[in-house]
Amino acid sequence: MKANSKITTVFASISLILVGAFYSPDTPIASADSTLTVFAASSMSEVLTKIGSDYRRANPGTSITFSFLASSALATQINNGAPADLFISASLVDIQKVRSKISTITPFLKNRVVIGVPKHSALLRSKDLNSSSVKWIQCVHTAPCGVAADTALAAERVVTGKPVSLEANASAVVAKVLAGEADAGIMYHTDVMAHSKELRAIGFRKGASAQTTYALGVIDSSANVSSAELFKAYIISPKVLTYLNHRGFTLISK
Amino acid sequence: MKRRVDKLSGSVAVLAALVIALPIFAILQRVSWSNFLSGLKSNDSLSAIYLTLWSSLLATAICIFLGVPLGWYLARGEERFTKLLRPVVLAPIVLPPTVAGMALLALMGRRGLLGQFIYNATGWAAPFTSVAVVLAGIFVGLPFLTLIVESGFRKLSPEIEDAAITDRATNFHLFSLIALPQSRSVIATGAVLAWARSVGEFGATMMFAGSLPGTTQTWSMQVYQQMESDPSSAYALSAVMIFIAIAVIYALRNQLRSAFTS
Repeated sequence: MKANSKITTVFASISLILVGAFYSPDTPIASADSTLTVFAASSMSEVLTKIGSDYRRANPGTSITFSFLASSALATQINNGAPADLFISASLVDIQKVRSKISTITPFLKNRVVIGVPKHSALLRSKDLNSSSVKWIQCVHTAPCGVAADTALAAERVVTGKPVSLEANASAVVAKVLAGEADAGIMYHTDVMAHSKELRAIGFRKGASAQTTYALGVIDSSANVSSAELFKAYIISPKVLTYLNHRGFTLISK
Repeated sequence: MKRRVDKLSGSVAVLAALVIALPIFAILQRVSWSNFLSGLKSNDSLSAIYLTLWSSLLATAICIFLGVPLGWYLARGEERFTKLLRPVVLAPIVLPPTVAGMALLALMGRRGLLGQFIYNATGWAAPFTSVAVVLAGIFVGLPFLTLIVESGFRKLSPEIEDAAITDRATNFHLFSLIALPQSRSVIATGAVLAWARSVGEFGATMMFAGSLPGTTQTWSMQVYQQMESDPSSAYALSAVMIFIAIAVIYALRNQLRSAFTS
């Protein structure tokens, strides 16, 4: 009995220390001073980093932490209880996977995949990917950029070869083409625009099939619902949408 | 009198054991045992297991071939060289896998230090090939084998060697006829650790080799992939990994204990 009670004491004190270290009040904090966790598609990493720092400058009390991955991976994490306040998905399918946790899903942008190649590349048409010496890559079939690539290739029916790698997310495809490891990558039109000094795009003729729709939503169980709603409203404000449009995203007309 | 563990250490030890055992238990509890085999067979899982097994075994064989002489040199070589060499060759033990991936790309990529010459001469480059999976396995596994083997060589009794030197044994004889036969179990332990390290490699492989079913998509990448599309298959794949890990550590319990005691 005595030994037992000592063990209990040890456990109790350890638990207290752990609780103390991680305790945070779960009542919504006033939007004047809050930390937002935003899970976002990796294809938006550059624009959102800029949008986030603009927002912080205007709202000094708010700090924003972004987690950029493939939307499919982020949806899995959110379903497993990851502490996101706002989810910005590159596909409707992936945000639908967490619809039990997001009461309002707002589609706001479209993007399309193209074949991104280095500027000096000899590749001109999609069928050039069939050459055995060409190593091309795309996103994994579960990620939105992979889904768009698969449907675009299926509609085009020209490319018969296979990619040499299925990368985990859109950014990884861009990085490997920029690094020169791959000759071409099926990536977002916006990523090619963002690296227009190094890359150029070969479009798919059936552009509609290469499209994906971006949507965002606040996680209902978030401790920062009000400040997450404010940041969401900022992202879909005319000013920010115009900026996104300039960066190559297509706006969804209301 | 029998020595016992005091109650405070004992309770913390229990807590520590739970920290490790509970996640393992939790994952096994998620496995759907009725669909276990179909989970292992689904979506390229078998080809990922096959690729992982042969590439890690090949990497381990190369690790033994390279690492045993390296361990011997570190144990017996000139101190002023070995003290500089040791931290460098053992560094991957503490390097994050992503850094390992960057390092391998920097060396063997199309524009890599060495890779550019290979690519210009032959049109071949390591990334996106199974060779890259093996290279990543060697890079992360070799330091473990070297570390264990060096410590084993250091523990060999000097008397046998002194006697052999009196009998005019050459340096090569000392290594091949005296040190090697006495170190078989140490080498086996090092090889198993190197193998385990290369089986589990994820970050370096993904960055350096890419991910394509049948060619570069390894077991651990398949777990990551299936987590999104078919979690029950991911749990089945994880469970097999856990069984292998526990079986390997159990089978080698004596060797491991002696390898880490001086």
